[in-house]
Amino acid sequence: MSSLRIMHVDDDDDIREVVSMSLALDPQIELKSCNSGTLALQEAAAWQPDLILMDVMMPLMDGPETLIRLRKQEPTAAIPVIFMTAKAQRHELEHFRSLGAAAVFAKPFDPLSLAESLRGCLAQLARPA
Amino acid sequence: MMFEASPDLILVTDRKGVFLRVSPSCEVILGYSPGEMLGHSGRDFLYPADLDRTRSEMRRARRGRVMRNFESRYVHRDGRVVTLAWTGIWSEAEEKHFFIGRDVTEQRTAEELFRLAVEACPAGMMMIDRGGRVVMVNGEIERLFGYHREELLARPLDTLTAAQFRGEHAQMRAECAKPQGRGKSGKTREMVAVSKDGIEFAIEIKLTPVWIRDGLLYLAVVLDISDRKRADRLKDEFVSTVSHELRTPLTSIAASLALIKGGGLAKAADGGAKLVSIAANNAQRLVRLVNDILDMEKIQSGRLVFEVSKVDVAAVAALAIEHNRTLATEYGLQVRLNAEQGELCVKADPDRLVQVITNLLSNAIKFSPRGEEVVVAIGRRVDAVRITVRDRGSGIPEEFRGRIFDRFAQADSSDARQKGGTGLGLSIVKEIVARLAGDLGFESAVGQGTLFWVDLPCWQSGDTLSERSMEEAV
Repeated sequence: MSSLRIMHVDDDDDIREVVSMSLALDPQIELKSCNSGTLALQEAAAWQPDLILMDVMMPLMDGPETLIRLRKQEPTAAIPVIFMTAKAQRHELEHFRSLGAAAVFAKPFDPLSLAESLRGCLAQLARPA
Repeated sequence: MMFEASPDLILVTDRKGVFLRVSPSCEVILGYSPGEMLGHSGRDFLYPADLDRTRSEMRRARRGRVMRNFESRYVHRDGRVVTLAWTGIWSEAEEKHFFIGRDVTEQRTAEELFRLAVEACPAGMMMIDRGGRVVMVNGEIERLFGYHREELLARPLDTLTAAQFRGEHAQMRAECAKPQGRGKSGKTREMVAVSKDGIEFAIEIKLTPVWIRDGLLYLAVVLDISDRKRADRLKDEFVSTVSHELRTPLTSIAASLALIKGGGLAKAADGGAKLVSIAANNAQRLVRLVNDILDMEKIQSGRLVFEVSKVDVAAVAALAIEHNRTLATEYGLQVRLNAEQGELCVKADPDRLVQVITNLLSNAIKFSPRGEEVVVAIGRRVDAVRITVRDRGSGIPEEFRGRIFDRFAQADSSDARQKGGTGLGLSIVKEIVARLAGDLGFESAVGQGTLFWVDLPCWQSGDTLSERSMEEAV
């Protein structure tokens, strides 16, 4: 499997921890965790991840706002963003998808298949339309 | 023969309206016999307010105009008001009026009752013609849309709805008018209406076809559903927020357990212990959250019984401090109780008052720097006892102050969650204080700390336990 750089953004320490342990199951994944949208904007520009996995409900700058700002700054404009959210009612998932997210994962998630799901999502994005 | 048998009232009068002949039906219609009426004139029986109008109509008749369905009211012998619809002519040759009067009292009463019912109807009602123009409205429609009746009549219905719904009325009318739809109500639809001053509001509208002699009209029943929509939206937001708040700790628990079960522990030596700790902490958080949600729901629905009694505030505060002793130790700070001398008693439910002070105190502890002191003070006001909880934390951000007592409000959710907050503590405090007829507020300076205060009514010597307990229990 190819190596992959994933940035995870979530304000909840415990969720960052379990996502980190979950993605550590795939030795080819290099992970960087951020606890806020503001930090993610800086880190993503410098680190250039292949994918950003991001929470929606975060204080100060929420997921959708962070996505808009990522799109506006050139170094991060094309990085695919996947939302992972506990706001998981059908209309909410549809709304987050409509904001331009590559996919929306509902919390709780399956930690044993998270890496595979992210890889699958990236493969789909890479496929010509 | 016809004169004798007629159910209608037949009269012959002279120029001045004096009765020359009266049919026997007058006995039934007005309660007087012909003998009692002869020689009198109409004005002796007319309802006073109709006298001038009736005289004018008779003058017109003498000028050659045939009187048709002219209605005037009379007073029956038993005091009832009777409405008669007159047809009559003036004979110049005989110098006499000839009248036939039909009793339309029942019909007019029914019409009046119907009109009053329509006007009093709490739902908006309007009749619309086939072209979609308004032909009748009731008072509720005037109130809803802010137009006077005259401004609404002949107005196309479409002009009363928001742009995106224009055209839907025509479709509704077409569905209603289908032969198979005759006599059936159309579907109820929700739309956005526009009032005279341009304000949009949600309505529910239902069309029913009404077939009259001249063709088809539609009865539109209109309900303002703004409040219902607002309540639905609030409920949806609440469900969404609760779902989010429950799923967040659940995510950590489920993921931790799945990693443990699946053997996917991190390479770090303490991976397993870490996951167990995450699961346990989040399970505790979930328990607190569920308890707080249930408390909140019970308080708001009025199902939580308040056992009100004479409560010594200092004793309750000492108990709340004791409950928070472990937390204070964990955060490395002291809690001090500073109570004025003398009896400080309030009317309250002691358990709920402990909950109020505990919630304020645990917040103060969690948001204070290590080594600081949190002070719970109790003092007397004019007719209340004031409880204050002061911390030396970072203060409440200005932009958060307006919603600090809102459910699930947290200035910085990451910080608050890590400290085990549910976002419901202060809303519970607010609800309890309100139920205890108290008052609540705070003073905060960024970087210097926050002081929450609660005022509760003093216990008065005449206060009884039972009355208040009963009242609160309702």
